[in-house]
Amino acid sequence: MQEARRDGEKSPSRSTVKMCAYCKYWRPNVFYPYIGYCEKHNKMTFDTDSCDNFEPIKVKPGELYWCSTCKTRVTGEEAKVLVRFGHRIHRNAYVDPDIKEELYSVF
Amino acid sequence: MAQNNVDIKFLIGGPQGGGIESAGQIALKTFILKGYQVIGTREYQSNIMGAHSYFTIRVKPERPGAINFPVDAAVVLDAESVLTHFQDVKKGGFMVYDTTTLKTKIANIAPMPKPLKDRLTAFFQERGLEPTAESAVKIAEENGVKTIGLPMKNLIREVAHKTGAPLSRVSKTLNTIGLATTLYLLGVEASWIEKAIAVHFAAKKKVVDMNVEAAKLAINYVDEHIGGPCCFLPEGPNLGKEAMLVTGNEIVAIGKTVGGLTLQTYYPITPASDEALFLEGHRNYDLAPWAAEALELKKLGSVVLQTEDELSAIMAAIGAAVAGARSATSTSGPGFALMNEAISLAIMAEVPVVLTLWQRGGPSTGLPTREGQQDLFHALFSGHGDNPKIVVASGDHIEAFYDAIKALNWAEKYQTPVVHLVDKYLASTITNVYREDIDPLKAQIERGKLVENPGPDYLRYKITEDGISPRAPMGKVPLVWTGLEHTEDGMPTEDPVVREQMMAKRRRKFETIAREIPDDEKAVLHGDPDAKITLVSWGSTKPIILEALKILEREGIKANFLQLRIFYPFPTEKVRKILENADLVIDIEQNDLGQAAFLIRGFTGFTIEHFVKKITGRALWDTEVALAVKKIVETGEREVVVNGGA
Ligand SMILES: [Zn+2]
Repeated sequence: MQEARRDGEKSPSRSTVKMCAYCKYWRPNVFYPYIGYCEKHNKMTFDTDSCDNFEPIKVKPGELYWCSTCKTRVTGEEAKVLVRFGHRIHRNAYVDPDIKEELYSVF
Repeated sequence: MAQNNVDIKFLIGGPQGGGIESAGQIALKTFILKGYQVIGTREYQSNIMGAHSYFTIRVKPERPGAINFPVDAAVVLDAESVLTHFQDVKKGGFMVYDTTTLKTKIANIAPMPKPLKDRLTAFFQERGLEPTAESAVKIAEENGVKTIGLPMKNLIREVAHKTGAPLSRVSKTLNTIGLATTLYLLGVEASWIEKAIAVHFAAKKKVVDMNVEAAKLAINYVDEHIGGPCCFLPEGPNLGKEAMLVTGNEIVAIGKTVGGLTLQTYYPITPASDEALFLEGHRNYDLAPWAAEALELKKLGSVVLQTEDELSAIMAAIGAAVAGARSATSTSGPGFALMNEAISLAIMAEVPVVLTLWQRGGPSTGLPTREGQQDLFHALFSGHGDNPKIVVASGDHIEAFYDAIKALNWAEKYQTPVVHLVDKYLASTITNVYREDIDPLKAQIERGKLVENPGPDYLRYKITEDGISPRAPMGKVPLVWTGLEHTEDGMPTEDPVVREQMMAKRRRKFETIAREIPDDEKAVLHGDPDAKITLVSWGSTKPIILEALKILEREGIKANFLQLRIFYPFPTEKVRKILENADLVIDIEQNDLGQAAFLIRGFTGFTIEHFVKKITGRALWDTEVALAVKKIVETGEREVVVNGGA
C-alpha cells in the first residue's frame, strides 16, 4: 500500500491526474493491470506513467469498455456507474501475444 | 536436511494464461536438474483464459506418487489465487503474494465462481473481516503461515531498469520473480534456478538473460527484506541424470510413436487433444543418435488427421486400418459417445483400431477440464450387439507408455478395437522419466496374422480354431468389407448356419485373447499378499493408493492394493481369489456408481461392501485415501466421500 501512495494513486481525480491508467490510448494487461500497452507510443508502460499525449477516456453509452478492477468487459452505461465506485475503465485490455504458450487446449 | 528426507510440496496459482505454465515448468526443471524427481499437476478451468488455475508440485528423491494439501509454500500473484489458497498452506509454511492485489474485493473478481464468492464472503463476515485479499493474508498469518508481500510493480520496474529491455518483455518475468522467491526460500540456490531458466527458454538468449536478472533481483529482495533460507537443500540422488519431462498426454503419444503408429485421427476435445497435437508436432521427428542406431531408423512419426467430428475420426481410423495402417484415434467421453456405432462396426468387421479414451468429469460435457473415472461402463459396453473389445486402464505414466504400444499390438494381433482408458489427471500431470523407464528397445511391434501376398483363395474371414483369420490389407486383393453378417469371403449373408459359425468364431477369438494375455497383465496385487485389507481400484489412482498404503502402514494398518488393469477379458479367477482372501475389501474410484465394483460383482460374484469416492473433479490425494480407509477400518462405515482441493 506504500507503493500505491507513493505513486499518487490514493483518491485519484480522473480529470486532473494525467496518468496512463486514465488515458484513452492505454490498454491494461488483462491479468496484471498495473502494466499496459500504449497505442500512441506502441510500447508498454506502467499505469502511473504519463506523457504529453494524454487524452482522457470519454465513456459513451452503447459502447463496450474494459474494467480492470473487475477484469471484465462492461457497457458504457455500466462503466459510468463503476467509475463512481473507483473502478478503472479503459477502452480495451491488452493480451500478451505469447499467451498461447501458457494455455492448455480446452474444447 | 538429509537428501532422503526431502519432500517438498508447493503450488503456483494465477489467472489462466498468466504465466503459471512457464513458472510450473521452470520449477519442475529446477528440481530435476538438482537431482530430484517430481510430479506437477495442473488444475484449470474450461473457460480457456483468465479464470483461476494452479499447478501443484511435489519433489522427492524418488518419484512422488501423489500431491496433497496443505503445501509448504504457495505463490499466489493475483487476488483470486490469494483468496482461493490462503488456507492451503501448512503452519510454518509461506505464501508469496503481490502487494498490489491486497485491496481487491471478492465481489470484484469476475472469474471467481459465485458459490465460492458466497462461501468466502460468509467466512470473512463471521470473523468480522472485510471480504478482501488482505483479510485472506491476515487469516493465513493467524494460521502460522509466513506471508511474503512482493511489491511486484517496483520489482518489474527494476528489472526493466537493469536490463534496459522494453516493459513488454519485462512484464513476462512477473512469475519468475514470484517463483524465484519461493524456490530460494525453499532452499534452492540461485545457480540452480538460473540453470533451469536457461534450459526452459533454451534458444532465446535475451529471454534467458532477462529472466535470470529477474530471479537475481527476487533473491536479492529476499536477502534484504525477508532473510534467506535457513539452509540449502542437498543435491538429489539423480544429479546429472538425463531426464525427460512429460505429461500423460505426451507419454501416450510417445508410446504410440514407438509402437509403430502410422495414423492418428482426432477431433479436438479436452483432455485428449494435447496427445494428438504432440503427435502432430513430432510427425517427422529426428531420432537421437543412440536411438537411430538401435532402431536402424533416422526418423519416426505418424500422419495425424483432424476430422470434422468424432464419428469421422473413428471411421477414418477404421478405413486406414482396413488399408493396412496401424491406426488409432483419441477422444474423451463425449467424443467416445459419438464413436459408438463405428466401434460396433469395427467389432463386426474385425478391424484393428485403438481408441484412447481420456476420461473427464461427466455426464455430458460435465467438467471438461476436471478429473473423472466415469467412463468404465461406457468403454466396456460401447457399441451395440454383442460387443467384446479389449479394455485396458493405465495406472501411471510408465504403464501408459507401454500400454499404448501393447494396445496397438493387441488391436492388430486380434483384429479388434482396443480401448485404452486414461484420464484427465494423467493427461495433465507432468513427471520426469529416465531412459530406462521407457525403453523403446523393449517394445516389439507385433502385427499378428498380416498377409502381405494373399493368393487367389484368400478368405478374409476364414473360420479358424483360434478365431483369428489371416488379414490382408485392402488393395492387395479384392476385399468385401461390411458391417453386415458375412461369409468367410466377406459377402453379406443372413444364413442361420453361417451366422452361428461367425458368432462362434468371434467368441473364440476372445477366448484366445483371454488365454494369451497373462493374468499378471490383467490385474496386479501390490503389497503384502497376506494382508487382510484389500483396496481395489484402477487407472490413475494407482500411485496415489500406493502412497496411501505407506501412510496406513505408519498408522499400523496393513493393507494391499488390487489394481485392475484389463477389464475385458476380465481376470475372473485371479480377482475372485484375491478378494476372497481378504477380511475387508474397499473399492476406491472417482465415479459415483462404483463402476469397477459393479463389474467385479458381475464377473466374479464377489460383492464389495465398502467404498471411497471422489467426485469433485479434483485430483485424489494419498492423505485423504488413507484417512478414508482408516475411518472404514475403525468404524465399519459403508462409504466415505473425500473432497480435497480447490
Ligand atoms: Zn469494475
